[in-house]
Amino acid sequence: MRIARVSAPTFVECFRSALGSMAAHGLRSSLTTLGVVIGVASIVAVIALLEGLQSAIASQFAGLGGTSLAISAMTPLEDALQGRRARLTPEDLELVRTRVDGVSNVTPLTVIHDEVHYGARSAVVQVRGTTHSYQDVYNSFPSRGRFLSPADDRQRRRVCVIGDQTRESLGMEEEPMGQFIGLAGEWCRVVGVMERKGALLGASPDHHVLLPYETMRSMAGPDEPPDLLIHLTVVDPAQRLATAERIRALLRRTRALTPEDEDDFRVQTMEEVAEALDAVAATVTTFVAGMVGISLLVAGVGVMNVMLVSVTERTREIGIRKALGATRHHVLLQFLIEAMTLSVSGGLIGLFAGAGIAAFVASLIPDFPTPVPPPAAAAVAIVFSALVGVAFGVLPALRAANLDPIEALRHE
Amino acid sequence: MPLITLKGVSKCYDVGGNTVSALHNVDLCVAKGQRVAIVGSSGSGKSTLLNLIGCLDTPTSGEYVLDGRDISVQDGRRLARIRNAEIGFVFQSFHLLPRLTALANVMQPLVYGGVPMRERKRRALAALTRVGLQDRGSHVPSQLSGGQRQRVAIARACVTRPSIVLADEPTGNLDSAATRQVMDLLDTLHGEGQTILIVTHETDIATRCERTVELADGRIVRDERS
Repeated sequence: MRIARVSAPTFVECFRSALGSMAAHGLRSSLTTLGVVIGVASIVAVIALLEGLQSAIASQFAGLGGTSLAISAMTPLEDALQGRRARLTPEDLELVRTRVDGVSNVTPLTVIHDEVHYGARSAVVQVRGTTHSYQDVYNSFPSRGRFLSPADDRQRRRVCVIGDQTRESLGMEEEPMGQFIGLAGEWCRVVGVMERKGALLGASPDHHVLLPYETMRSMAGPDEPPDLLIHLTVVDPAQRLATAERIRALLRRTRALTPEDEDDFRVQTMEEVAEALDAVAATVTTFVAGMVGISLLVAGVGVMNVMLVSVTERTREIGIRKALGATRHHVLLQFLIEAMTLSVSGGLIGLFAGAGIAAFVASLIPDFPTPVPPPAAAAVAIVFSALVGVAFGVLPALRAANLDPIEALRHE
Repeated sequence: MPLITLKGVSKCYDVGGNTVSALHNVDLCVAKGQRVAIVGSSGSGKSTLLNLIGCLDTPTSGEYVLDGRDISVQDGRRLARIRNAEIGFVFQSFHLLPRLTALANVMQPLVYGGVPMRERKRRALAALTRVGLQDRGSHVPSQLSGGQRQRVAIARACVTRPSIVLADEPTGNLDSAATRQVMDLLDTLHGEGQTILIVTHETDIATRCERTVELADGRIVRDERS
């Protein structure tokens, strides 16, 4: 095809002609573009929502830093089916603290959900037992008052730091330091209020109560087997993976796991956690892209069908144009541009519809960040719909271009 | 030098496996500025001859030279360029593009000639003014009478200032008043030195031309100059 020989005014005329043809068959054009609209709208909406979700997760992880490791219990499927549950114990915490070199801020975290009381009000919150290094590991600091101190932990003081939303739920004043809240039948003095972090998918990290780790253990009593999550910071970032491997070997040895046994715990870097979430997002995106690809193929067949009908209907018009001096390339271009205009206009409508759907869905989820389709996704949607137009417009356009002018002029 | 020279031109078509000869060994020369009527019964080869002269088709054998150029050896793209620049068609059933306004219809050949928008509009308006339809530029063909449509078609045929105007039964679908208007327009064009070939069945139209070529069974049987 020597389209380069076709002058710029002809391009503009072809585009005008395409718009005229679409306007002349408004309903038919709308129905033809509907397939492209639905395909593009669905992928744009899903990608925009996934982007929103990923950015929300990323902001939650941002504070954890690249040098953090997280150790958690993980029950192998076989054991879980037998009713056994793996746990990380205070002994494991001590092991990591004392036997692993090059680590700092070894922070236990034990989590339960319980009811807290203040005056006549109560709320169910996440109660976290942890130590003073929590604030460095989670990059989360008190906005008022102070955080839990090593002395609070050692002396098992009944003190707590509360999330800002917990404070609101309990109807406490802005500066609630010195007030007491009821928790598991005991009174804990509020010593600080954490800064707000913002919610993710309705689960607010601000709706919690932080207790000293040892205090929480003593309140739970000896019968309650604790399950810990251990966070730590690797002093030399380059040694992150080696340290993770040393911890793994140590825990396997102390838990007397044989080489055949699977790990009943997991040592993860924060990148791994983020990568796992990205992998889920990528899988969803690939799946949706596949589905949308199929729907765009179907839409493309619709475009081709309508264009073939259009060529048949306009055979005489093609003959007239050729008699007036239209070359084969002019006619080819006219019908290709028409097919592309149909599908690209569907793509553009789909882009805005997708953004609208994503915004609507996001508005139904509390505290979900406003989803904005990434420019790359918008560009891909438009380019892909243009390609659909070209791919499925070529056959009708070739049919039009190859018409014999005399036969076309005689066509009734 | 003649504008149109046909030497031993034949045109055969393959119809259902049989070869049908539409034109047989036709020799014809038309000088610049001549007005020629091509007459003959249906199936005599008039339209085939017009299509060949109009570069919509090429001869099976023989030579067609238009203004010094051998048309028989040109490819499709060059033929299209020649149609655009050298030839203006006027059809019996007007053949205007139904969705375009009269002005846009007249501009159409200039689009394919790559003429810029402003110049296109100026020349199309001038052509419409020449046929007396300057105030009908924004009308689509369905809003025009038969005579007006044919005048738009004549404006379209002349807008590129072609060497030849080929009219295939230009008054075949018109009443007598409109026929008069169209023929007066063709007279004016001829008076300005335009070469015109008219295929017609009507004797009074043929008599307005200074030369009549009659075809029968694909051969020229009469070539009279008045």
